[in-house]
Amino acid sequence: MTSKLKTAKTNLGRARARVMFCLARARGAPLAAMLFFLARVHAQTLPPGANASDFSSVEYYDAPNQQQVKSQISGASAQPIEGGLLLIKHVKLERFLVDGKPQLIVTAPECVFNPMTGQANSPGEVHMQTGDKSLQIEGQGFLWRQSESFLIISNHVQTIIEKTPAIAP
Amino acid sequence: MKMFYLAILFLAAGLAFASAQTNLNSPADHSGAPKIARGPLKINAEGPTAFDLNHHFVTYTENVVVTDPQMKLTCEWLQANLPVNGGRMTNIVAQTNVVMDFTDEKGQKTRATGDQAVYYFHVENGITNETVTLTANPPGKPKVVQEQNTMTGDAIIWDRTTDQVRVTGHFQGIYLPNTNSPAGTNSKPIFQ
Repeated sequence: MTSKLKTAKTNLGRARARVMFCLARARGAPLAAMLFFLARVHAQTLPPGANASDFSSVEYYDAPNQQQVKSQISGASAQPIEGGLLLIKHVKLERFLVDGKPQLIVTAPECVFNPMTGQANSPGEVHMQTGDKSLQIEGQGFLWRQSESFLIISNHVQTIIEKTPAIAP
Repeated sequence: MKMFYLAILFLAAGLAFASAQTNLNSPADHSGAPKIARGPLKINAEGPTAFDLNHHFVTYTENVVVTDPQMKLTCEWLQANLPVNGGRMTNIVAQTNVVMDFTDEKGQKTRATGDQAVYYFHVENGITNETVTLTANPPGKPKVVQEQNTMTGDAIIWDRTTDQVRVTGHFQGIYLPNTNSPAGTNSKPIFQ
């Protein structure tokens, strides 16, 4: 199953930054998880109550950097809910630079993810930090638009910037 | 355009512009040598904050408060660049009801107000430029107030590398001597 996932991942990645899902170890329903993976837009067809673990959705850069991961949203589990959406627990959202360095890491207890649009949102608490950890942000509620690489933290945003010496490299 | 160096003005007027962690008397450091870090900068906002990772900037809205050991800034809207490879923010714009409060080592408080403050950091050929420029929408003017003393102009520029402040264009300063001093009976403004 792992090799199939990798193959599909590569193919989808080459197919111009498509979002895909990796659902490994689907709890008690490996076939359902595989179907879910192959037919990402039909997540709502998962059996009710199915709860897949180790969820991830990856977006790739456009050519010529189509092998480079642009962003990835992952979670400890993903549960289909109404409207073809997924409820993801222990969410980790990462945005990478073209050279592979992490640009931003967002974590939240849970969020609702729309596989069709690549949007994720949550009314709960959210924590974010830059790849070099120089900037730490906490807030309440967020909306992530994967296709635009646009993140909105809704309320009560608190940012701490660890200052670097007053000189650029 | 007339340029008034506030450091000179303060010497003349007996003011000591706030610089809690800096020394106005220290020689200007344009060498580009690393400074001691000033400590963390905090930015709080009540409203939505947007991170545009394609264009590398962040926008804070609603009751934005920026604090560091040197000052506190409040405004309604603030936008800053997000350096691609990390590191410090080099361009910050604060707009609408901008208020900057400083407290120096002696507890002397200074308040600067305007409609827009622009922070700019740049290093070129080993020379560090780091400024905060405060302006206001006409007919308003940016203003610096320390106790009963006031200064206005078209722009107030704080050079953070030298901790000098200068006022450009249509300068107006009002200084009222301390009433506890021997010369304190003179209540007329001496800069106008």
